[in-house]
Amino acid sequence: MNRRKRMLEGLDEDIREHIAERTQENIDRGMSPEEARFAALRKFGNLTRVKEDTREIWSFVWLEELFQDIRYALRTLAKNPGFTAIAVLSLTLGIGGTTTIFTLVKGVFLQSIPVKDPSTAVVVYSTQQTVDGEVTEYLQNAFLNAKDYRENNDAFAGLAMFMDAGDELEISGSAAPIFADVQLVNWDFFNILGVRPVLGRNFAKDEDETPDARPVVILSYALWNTKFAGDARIVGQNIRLNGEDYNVIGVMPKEFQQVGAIGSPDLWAPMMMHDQLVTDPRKDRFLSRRGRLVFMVGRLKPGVSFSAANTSMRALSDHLAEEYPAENSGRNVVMVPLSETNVPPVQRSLFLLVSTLMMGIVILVLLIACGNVANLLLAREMQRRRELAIRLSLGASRWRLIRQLLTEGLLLGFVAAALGIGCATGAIHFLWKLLPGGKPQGLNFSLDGRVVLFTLGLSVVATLIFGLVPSLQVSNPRQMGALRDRSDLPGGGGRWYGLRGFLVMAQIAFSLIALVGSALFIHSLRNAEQLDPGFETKHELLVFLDPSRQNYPQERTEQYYRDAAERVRALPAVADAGIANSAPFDESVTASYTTFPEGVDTSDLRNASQFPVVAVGPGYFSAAGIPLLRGRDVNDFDAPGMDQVVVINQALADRLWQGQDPIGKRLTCLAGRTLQAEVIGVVGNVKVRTLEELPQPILYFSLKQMYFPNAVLYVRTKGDANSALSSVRSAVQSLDPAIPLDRPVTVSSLMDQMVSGSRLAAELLMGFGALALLLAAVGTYGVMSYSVSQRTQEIGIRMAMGAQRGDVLRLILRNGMTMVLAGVVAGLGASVFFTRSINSLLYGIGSFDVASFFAAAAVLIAAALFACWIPARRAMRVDPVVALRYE
Amino acid sequence: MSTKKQDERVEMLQGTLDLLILRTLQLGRLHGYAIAKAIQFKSDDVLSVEEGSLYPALHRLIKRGWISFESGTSENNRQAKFYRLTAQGRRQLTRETSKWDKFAKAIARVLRPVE
Repeated sequence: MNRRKRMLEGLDEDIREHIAERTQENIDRGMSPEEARFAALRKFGNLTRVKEDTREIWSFVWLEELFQDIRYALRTLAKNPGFTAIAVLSLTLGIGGTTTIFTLVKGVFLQSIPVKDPSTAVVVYSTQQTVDGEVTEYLQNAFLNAKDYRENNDAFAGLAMFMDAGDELEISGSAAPIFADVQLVNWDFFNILGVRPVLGRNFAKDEDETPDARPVVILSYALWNTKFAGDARIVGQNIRLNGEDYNVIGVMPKEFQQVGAIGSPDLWAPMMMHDQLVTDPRKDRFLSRRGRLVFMVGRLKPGVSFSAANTSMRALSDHLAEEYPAENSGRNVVMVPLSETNVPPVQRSLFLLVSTLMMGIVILVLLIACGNVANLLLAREMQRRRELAIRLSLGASRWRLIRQLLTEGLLLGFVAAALGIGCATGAIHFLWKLLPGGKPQGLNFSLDGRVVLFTLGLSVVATLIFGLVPSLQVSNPRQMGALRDRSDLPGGGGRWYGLRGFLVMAQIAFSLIALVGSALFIHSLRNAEQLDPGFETKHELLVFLDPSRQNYPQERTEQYYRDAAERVRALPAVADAGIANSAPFDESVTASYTTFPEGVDTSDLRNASQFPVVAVGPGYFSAAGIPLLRGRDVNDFDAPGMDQVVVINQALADRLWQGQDPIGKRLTCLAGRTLQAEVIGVVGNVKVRTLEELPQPILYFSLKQMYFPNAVLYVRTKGDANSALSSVRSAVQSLDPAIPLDRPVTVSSLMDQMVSGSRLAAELLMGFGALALLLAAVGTYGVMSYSVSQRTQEIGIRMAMGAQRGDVLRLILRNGMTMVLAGVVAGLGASVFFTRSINSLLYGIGSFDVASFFAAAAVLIAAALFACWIPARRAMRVDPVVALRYE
Repeated sequence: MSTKKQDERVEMLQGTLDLLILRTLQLGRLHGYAIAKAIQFKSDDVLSVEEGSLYPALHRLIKRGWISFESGTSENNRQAKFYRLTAQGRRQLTRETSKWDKFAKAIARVLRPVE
């Protein structure tokens, strides 16, 4: 560098000296001073060139040229603000949208699990096959079965059980009582996951050996921080859990939450404390092999593959089924990597499909945007042919020219990417808030470098490809014809628009696919919203009763239920009221019992089916708007100690006793204990889990015979449900002000929530579809507009030869719409192909829904027509005299 | 105007010029103008190159480390840079000279066979 500096510093001087010496010599030879100097200069050559060449020797040529290119590109882009704005905007929207969706999807699916080596951690579920061949997956396993798996497997280095204790348990003590979720685990649970507590220690083996022997707990970080003030001295002290003292031995780290299927319990206790901590009816069937209580999580032995472990566990299952045919027949296991349990396995395939759909559409938008940029670049490069030709003839290297054109494209790409990513960050947070409730907290939505790189790479590659082709074309020195100011250059005239036209066709096709996708979803959503769920939705309120918070004993609770219903019924705004143990569509509470119809062998589980169960009070059906089809409702005379009565719905009647009268038939149910029940009535079908499901069989037992410590009061109002909210609430509250009462909800708001997920998806798709449409329309307009300007001469000639303005308009429109229609046809074809894969997401329509396809095509053609219309009108207004003058 | 052929010619000329400079400096240090004159003189004005192209050549040789420079005063009491061969440059000169000799001999044999 030093050398360089020294050398270059003296360069001007050296050259001056050189010329001076030569001049002097010439003078000595007899020339006049001016002649001498002239001769010296001539002999020396081009001064500037020499200086430049010399300087070049020392420069990092490529770097300086790069800066030059960038500066030039910036100037050129600034000179055409319209072009730049459209290009940058298109790309920004494309990149922003893609980044947003990709990051959201990645956040939900690829959330890292805070355990050691997540790839070898596996969750084990049980499956049940019923006599009709159906297999229900992702169920809990029986405790004793799980114990056998734990002790006898050869695929896992460790396999531990975990189960949620069920009801929230009270932690009492000095401060206000807290209700916590407790998870029961084997002693080596945390060791298997490779998680160490941040305070204290893990469970020890002897704490999980004898039932009820060692009351110890480990706190979650969240619970420790919020309810125990983050005080480290809590370790070693006792807390009072569910009325007993438990010693706190440790606190889990902050990151250990949302651990897939394990969830985020507030504290952990050894499995052997189950008798004290499990308070719901499962308590009584803990040691029954027929029950279903625990999930398992295991660490694969090193070198053992997932499929090998699967085979080995299934072999164990078969062995268990042989050994205990009465309880285990038809049972098997299914394993899911822990990292894939972020989304509950039951919903996973649905989520995957929707995510793929979103990602696909958003990539289409990106490609359309890239098409716009490419088209704009192409158009400009055509316009700059003259300039480029001149530069070539002046000695510029072709490679340099191409590099310069490419730099412009890249610069656009980077600016757009920066803006797009900025938008994406905002959009991600906004969208996540919009998602319907029940979403896991603490998901990581930070921008992943890979996502950014991917979108950036995609747009850069697409832009470059289309920028490169014309660059090569345009910079070909043999195209000297450009120096002559002619407009009949390839790609400018005629019906075939060349590369640009092809791009537009592709854009139209892509946007059609996006629009078809949106249309299908919207149609499906409308269908779902109009479904009749089988119960009253418009004039219905729900009040959540939870007297267990005040530790009401059973009798007092039942009285509470009755009083609540009565008091509410007395209100003037209320038509009817009734009690059931669960609200509609409430996943967490929908219990199901293994049920045998009368006359089958109840020792073989394969003869049984799993039916959802609801416990109801008298008058529930009429309050909820569920029609009673045959027989009778439950009433106060169906008391405990008498025969169990059960009301079934039509679907169950069809399932078990098709064509017969089900009244009087008997069922055997496994519900902790074995129940014998007699069918006393049949009611209409209602939707249980989703709006789109097929009719589900349901068992309705009497609340009096099947006690639940909390329930839901269904209130049918005479008028608007919303206006009755507060009066209903105060009526119930007045029974016992000490019982905390959640705000009542209207059933219609519940229904809204049910579709809110689909609605959001439909809105998102509609947004992207509209975006795709806009970008494609802009692209079409661009090409048409350019083409018209290129064809000015031709139009002038036509008009001079007698064509009317209307003819010109029609000509241009026809040319344009041919291109558009070609794209539409291609798009329709592609849509038919692609939409088959989202068939399962659609309700009430097949994937080849004529209405949706038609609507999408119509909208697109209308927009494209408008985009062609404007330049066509301009063509119409061409003055032939002016046009022909431009020869 | 094809740029490729021109580039090739330029490169060949560059190589030759570099060699001539090295040879000229073999006999001692010289400043820029003196080198130009020496080349012209020695070659009987046959190899007349644009004088200006001397300077990029000199800088190139310095960058490669075959010659070095120092500031000094010429006979006419002018400030100038004086160039001389480095050891590396000397070696390069020997290499190139022997290559040229072989080349010249080969051409001669073709042009005047059976001498």
